[in-house]
Amino acid sequence: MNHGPLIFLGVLASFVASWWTLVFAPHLQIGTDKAVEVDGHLYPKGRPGLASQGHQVYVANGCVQCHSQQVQQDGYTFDVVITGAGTNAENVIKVLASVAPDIKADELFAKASDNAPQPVLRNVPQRIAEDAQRRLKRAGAPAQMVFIPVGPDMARQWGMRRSVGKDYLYDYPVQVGNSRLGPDLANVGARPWDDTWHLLHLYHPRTMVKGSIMPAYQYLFEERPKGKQPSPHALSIPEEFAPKGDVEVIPTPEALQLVAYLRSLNVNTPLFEAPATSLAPSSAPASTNAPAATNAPVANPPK
Amino acid sequence: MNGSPTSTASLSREEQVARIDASCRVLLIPIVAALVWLLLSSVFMLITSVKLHSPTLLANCAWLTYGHTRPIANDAFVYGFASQAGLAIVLWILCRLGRTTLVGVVPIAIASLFWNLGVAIGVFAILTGRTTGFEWLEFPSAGSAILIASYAIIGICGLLTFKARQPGDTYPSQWYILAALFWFPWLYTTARLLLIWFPARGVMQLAVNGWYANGLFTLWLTGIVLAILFYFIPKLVNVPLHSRTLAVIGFWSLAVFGGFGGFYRGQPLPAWMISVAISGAAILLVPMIATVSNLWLTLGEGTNARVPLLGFFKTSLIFFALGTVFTLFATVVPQLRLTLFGEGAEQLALYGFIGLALFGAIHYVVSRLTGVTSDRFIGANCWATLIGALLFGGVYLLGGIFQHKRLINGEIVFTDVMNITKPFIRISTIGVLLLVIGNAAILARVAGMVRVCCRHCCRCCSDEEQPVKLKPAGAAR
Repeated sequence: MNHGPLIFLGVLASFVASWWTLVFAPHLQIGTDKAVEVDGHLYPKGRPGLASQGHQVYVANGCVQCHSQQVQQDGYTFDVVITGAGTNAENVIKVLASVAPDIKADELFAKASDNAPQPVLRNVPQRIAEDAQRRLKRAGAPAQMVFIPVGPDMARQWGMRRSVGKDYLYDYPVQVGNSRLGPDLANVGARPWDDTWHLLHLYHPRTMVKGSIMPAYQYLFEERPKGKQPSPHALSIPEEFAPKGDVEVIPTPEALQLVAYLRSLNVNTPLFEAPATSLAPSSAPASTNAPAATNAPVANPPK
Repeated sequence: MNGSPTSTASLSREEQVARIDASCRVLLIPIVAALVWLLLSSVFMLITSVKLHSPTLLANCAWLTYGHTRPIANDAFVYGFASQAGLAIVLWILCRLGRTTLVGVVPIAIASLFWNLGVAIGVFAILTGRTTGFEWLEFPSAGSAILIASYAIIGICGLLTFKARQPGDTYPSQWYILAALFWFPWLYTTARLLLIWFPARGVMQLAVNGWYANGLFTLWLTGIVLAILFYFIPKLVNVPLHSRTLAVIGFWSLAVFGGFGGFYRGQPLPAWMISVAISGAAILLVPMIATVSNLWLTLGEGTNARVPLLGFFKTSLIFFALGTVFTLFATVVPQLRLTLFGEGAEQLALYGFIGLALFGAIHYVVSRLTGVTSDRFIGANCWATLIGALLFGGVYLLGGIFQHKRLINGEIVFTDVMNITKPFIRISTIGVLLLVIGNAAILARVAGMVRVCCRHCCRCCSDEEQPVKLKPAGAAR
């Protein structure tokens, strides 16, 4: 260990090894990822202009310091559904009763149709689901398995499936984030919040979320004296949070861009590497935007 | 020209040391500048911390929004303080261990000024929202190009100083320094190339960013701090290092496996990369145990007399051990890294491990370089930093565990997940306040000593008044 060159070579070799393993090899694997066709549409799509500008606002204001954009998944379970009566009613009911003793087999059987698939089993492991599906099919019932990613993020409706590399294909810089001081935003655009909600939330987060620790982004808004006619763009802020005096609050272009970006965040599209089922309630008709890569074309209610 | 190293072999030991320290006096520039960045960093961290429980504070000030103050606090710490002060200290260690004077005094002085210009440009860019958006690489190209250029000059001077050493066995500190001097420019330029100059696509950016952040801590900063610990602990207790074999094992296991990390469970990366990172974090227990046991046994072999400044290095060693374990947990346990636990582990590493070791080294080195003895503010610096780090990082760790317990239970709505962290966040502000005090204390002490030294120099030059009382430069190893 008395030779500088020896240390230099050893250190160089180990550095190159780590670069080769964690930068170069992944580049070969995921660096050339391309968009794929899902149900006739390319995924992912580039963001529209305003949202794309909003991405830069998101970066400039360091939103990533508190918000992750990575949905995590613990594992998956399956539902088993039947989508129709099949050909041998008596037999199907018998098998239904033995597969799922807790349900009322004949009622369920009567309601089942293509438009109203009926759940037979819920949240069961793959082995049990496959077994049930096989037995039901053998009895003549059109049974299907529904793939359900599970985990706290899915339970909070932060996303239907885990995030994968493709979700970030066109973003620069990618804002995956390491902190959840705020909720995950990977799919914030899928949540039922409109522009007004987002703008009010940015202006003063506590107007919309009680007890939120998010800082207020009042510098993204302009306060100006009310004219004779109020501006159509002015926010109607609850009394408690409104600025004092005869002023109205107008969102700046940056605020509008940021909101457009937030509303464009939606990576729920099921992919081959991350299958998922729709978040639509189970009473809705069987979804037509079914995942292509799974055998799970049926809606599943969020819990 | 100050460039050529002077062999000090023919001189008496005391003269030797005096010549070396005189040549290193230029290092006071980066050390003082580093301490200014340190204070600035902690002030920004204080604003960040207060904002978490008073979210309307400075809501109209775009520059000081949370998303700016936090990266500024972190970058000012790592690039302004830790890297700069660390470089200065390791250059001095290289001189002392190699028994040679510093090579390139003038280039180092100039490069140090430019380094600070680079950091200042970077910090200003983040303030005005022109960040690159990559963690630990937020500085825009203008700032980072200056950083790299000035680093190249300082690094080359460091290598030349190493080359000019007296013949004899090299010491573990020298291995770490030599390795770290290469690691930083390789890591930094590779990451900037692949993220900013020729950006990789999509999630590859996350891979490069994670790889860099890991290297920045595990190779560069850890390398420097271990060099400092290996130098100062045996020196202060005045016994030789317990085992050279353990030191060799520790060094090579860190060098070989240190670069394999930076990712944690749940990231949208190929699963094998996460597995590599988890294995890497687990294997890092080997260098940690080798190093900590080696230095701890060395401590045990020393005399039991109370040695000033030893506490800094001992505590830093403990935080090194804890930090490795915390990192392993944050890598393996799903979602733990995303809670306050991740932030707490990071801040404990920054202030507990890196900060305390650098503080101890700065206290020691500045006394030698200025020739001024003063115990003022050492206690304040030590205790404020230790308690501050525990109240900030430690409390975050604890809060993170509670937050994690709720975060992984999907039945609990997110506002309730955050509500549990609020008391912890409040307490942590007190911790950050203590850190500010501790940082102000070390800056005050060093600035005071430099002032006395300068005044003394002026008096010597004018050759009239009685010089202030000076202590002969400390005994060299």
